[in-house]
Amino acid sequence: MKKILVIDDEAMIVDVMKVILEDMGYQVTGFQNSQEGETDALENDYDLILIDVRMPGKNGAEVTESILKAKPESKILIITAHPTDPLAKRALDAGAKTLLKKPFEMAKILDFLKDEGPKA
Amino acid sequence: MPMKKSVDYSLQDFISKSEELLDNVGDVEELVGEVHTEVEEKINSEIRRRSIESIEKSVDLQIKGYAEVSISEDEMKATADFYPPTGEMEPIELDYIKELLDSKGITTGIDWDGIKEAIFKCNTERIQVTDVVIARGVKAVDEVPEHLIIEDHLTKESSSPDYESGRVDFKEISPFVLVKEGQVLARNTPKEPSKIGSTIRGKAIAYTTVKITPIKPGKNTRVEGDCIVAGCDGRFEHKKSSFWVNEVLVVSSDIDYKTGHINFPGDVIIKGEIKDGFRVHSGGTVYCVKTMDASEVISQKDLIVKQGIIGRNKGRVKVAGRAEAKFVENCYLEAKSEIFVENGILNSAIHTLKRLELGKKGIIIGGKIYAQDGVTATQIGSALGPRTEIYCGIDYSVEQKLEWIRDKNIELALKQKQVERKLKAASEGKEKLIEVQEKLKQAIHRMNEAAKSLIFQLDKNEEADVIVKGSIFPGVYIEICHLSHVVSREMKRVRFRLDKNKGRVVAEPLGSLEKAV
Repeated sequence: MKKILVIDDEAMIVDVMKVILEDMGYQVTGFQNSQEGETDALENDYDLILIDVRMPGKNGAEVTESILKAKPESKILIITAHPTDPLAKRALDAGAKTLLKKPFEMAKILDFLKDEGPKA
Repeated sequence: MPMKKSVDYSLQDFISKSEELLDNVGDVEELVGEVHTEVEEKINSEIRRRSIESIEKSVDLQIKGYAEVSISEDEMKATADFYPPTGEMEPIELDYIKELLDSKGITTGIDWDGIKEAIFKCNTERIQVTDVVIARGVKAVDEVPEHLIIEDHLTKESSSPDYESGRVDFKEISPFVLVKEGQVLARNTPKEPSKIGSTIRGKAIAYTTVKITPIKPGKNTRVEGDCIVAGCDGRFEHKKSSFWVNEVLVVSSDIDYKTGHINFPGDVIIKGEIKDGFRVHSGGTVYCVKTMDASEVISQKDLIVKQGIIGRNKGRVKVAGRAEAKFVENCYLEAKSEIFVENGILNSAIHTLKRLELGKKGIIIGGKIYAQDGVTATQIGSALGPRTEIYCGIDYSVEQKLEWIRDKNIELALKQKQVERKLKAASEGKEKLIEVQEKLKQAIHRMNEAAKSLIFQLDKNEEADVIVKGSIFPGVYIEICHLSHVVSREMKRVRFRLDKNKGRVVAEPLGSLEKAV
């Protein structure tokens, strides 16, 4: 079973993603606190990590940088309201694969979870 | 033979005898004068007696029934007045009428039943029956050659709007007559034979042949039995001498309140503008000579706009084929095939399953571009302009479906969370809540199954690229096959493509590529 980690300070997003993605057969772990999420990502292996870019405490770009520094093979998708948000760009520069427009983009998540998904 | 003795009529003799006679007359007058009064009285008395007798006799005047006949000037009608008999006199007999008609020379078109009825009424009710038409001439029947008659409703003016309802949508009124393939356009009327006419006096009236301008079926029509039907869907048009179905609708004016919305099965050529708020739906290609202003245009083939498309953030254009315009502003434009824009795209949402090409000076500023095979432009973004996003390599139509599923799923998931919370707090009625929760789960699952099958239909073009012949500005967002790239500095003559090995979007100078090619 593929494992997905969702880090987003909005409870609604985390809840909804859990309901939908778990029904699809994925194991979903959610964190509203960015640092807790980062710690979990560093301690566990995930097939896909979804991170909100604008969060209190550590922002999504910082979390991405931290995870990819320790685990460069991680597939990280950044959740953002605006694709041109400088923080989103920073996360991309750090190695995040793509941006998910809020609340999330189903097509991209499923595409990255496909075995023959985007090269990442 | 002895000669008769001649009388002496000499003048002298005549005068003398006349004078003698005059003397005698004078004597007689004197005598007469004495008896005059007596004789005169007797004569007058006799006259009075006879007059009174005559008047008395006239009161009891006995008259037989009779009729008076009049004939119209053109001899096409005879009328009669029937007078009843008086006292014990003879009633009107049919033979009498026959004789009367004979005497007048009336031989044709006699209404014997009408005459008998009038006679009966006149005789039995003893009343005058007047103005009875007793004979009518027979008009000549003109010859009408075989000809086609166009169906009435096709040639009538379009019905007037219902002003009284107070809800007239003038946009819905169309002056065009649209027909469907197989619809009856005209029916054949067989030849009507001629017939010689006659006056009531039996005089022949000649017939003529009616002159009919023959109307011939034209293009896109065919014969079916006695009818001419439309050979295709289109606009019915006709002149004096022919009719046809046009697959192409040519509107010489603007599309506005004069024309109303256009909904045409074939190609539409608009020589004017499409005004704000008007719809054009075409089963073929739409060709607009001027601009399209905040309109809704749906074309089953191509769209060619010689000027621009001004969407005012409400214009929606959907094309099953290729789209071409000079510029596009604040508009939603979707084309299954290529899109070519000569000058620029400003703040618009552009969708194509092929490639978006711009002209030599073509710029894209603001908005979102979804072009599966890529984009070629001279300039993308601007130093201070609005955000510009370019998405390539992905079938936007599948993504749109997945977004719809996502929205429904979010709705269902939120409801499920609500039910979950209620279930935790509830002390009774849990069964019902569990039932609802189960239903929501099933609904989400069905949606997810649909989403999973769609993702395998997500046609991707990993060769899609973004070619910038001029400049691309910082902040422009480029996504190829779901991999993101944000332009961080101004770049000139550059190509963005997917580097499959690196798993990201890379930029390379356009010059080197051109040399390589």
